[in-house]
Amino acid sequence: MSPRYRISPKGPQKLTDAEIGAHKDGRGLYYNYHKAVKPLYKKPLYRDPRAFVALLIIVLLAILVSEVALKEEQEKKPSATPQRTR
Amino acid sequence: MELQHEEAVIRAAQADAQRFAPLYDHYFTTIFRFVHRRAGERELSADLTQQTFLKAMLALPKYTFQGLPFRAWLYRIALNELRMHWRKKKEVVMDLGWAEVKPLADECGVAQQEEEMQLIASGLGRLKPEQAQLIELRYFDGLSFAEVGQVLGIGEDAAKMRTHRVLAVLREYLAPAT
Repeated sequence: MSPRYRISPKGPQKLTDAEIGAHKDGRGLYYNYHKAVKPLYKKPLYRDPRAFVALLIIVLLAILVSEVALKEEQEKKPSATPQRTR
Repeated sequence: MELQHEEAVIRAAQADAQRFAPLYDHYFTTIFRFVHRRAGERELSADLTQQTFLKAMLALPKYTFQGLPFRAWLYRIALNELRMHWRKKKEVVMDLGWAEVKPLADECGVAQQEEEMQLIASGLGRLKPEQAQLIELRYFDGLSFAEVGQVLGIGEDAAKMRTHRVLAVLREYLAPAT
């Protein structure tokens, strides 16, 4: 994209070195660098066999618990067929 | 920073990223001003400058010292960041003062007066983006032809030749005033 130029005698207000220095964030730079270079998980969880088994067990347990809960709920409610009301 | 010393600092940073700090400290203001001249907004300039240094840090192992100041390579990365930002914008405005335009005005033999300055502004606006970029780097940022070449990925001679061609085009646009 070709910029549009605006030329004025004084130009835009010049920032001082101190004002620019206030934006310096070396710690943030290193943090982002390490985040980019060394991600928290090198392998995605589903590719790590141990993590995969652990995830599988959690999912199976969740299914089991929900099945049991559903069964108990069905047992509590007598097989009442919906009655028509006139 | 002297070139020889700079080379040693770069090599140290290539070996250990923790030693990038001297380069960051030395060039932060330079790159911030370069970005701010084009982006205009302060916070945006800070973000783009930070992003420039992050990209530089990540790409530093591939950097090869060519006897030119490290800033030329940083300018190149900063320009890429600006281009990515400009993709989302409809219009880019570059605000300049007469003092910044003076080297270009002198080169074109134009007096520093309101009317002439407006002619330069419209003349620059008529240039193709890659032509305008050559003028910006050479006259507004004050880079040497070798540095302009490094920023744009061309040789020093090519940068010199292209700049002179663009100046000829610009002089034509300014002709009625001169």
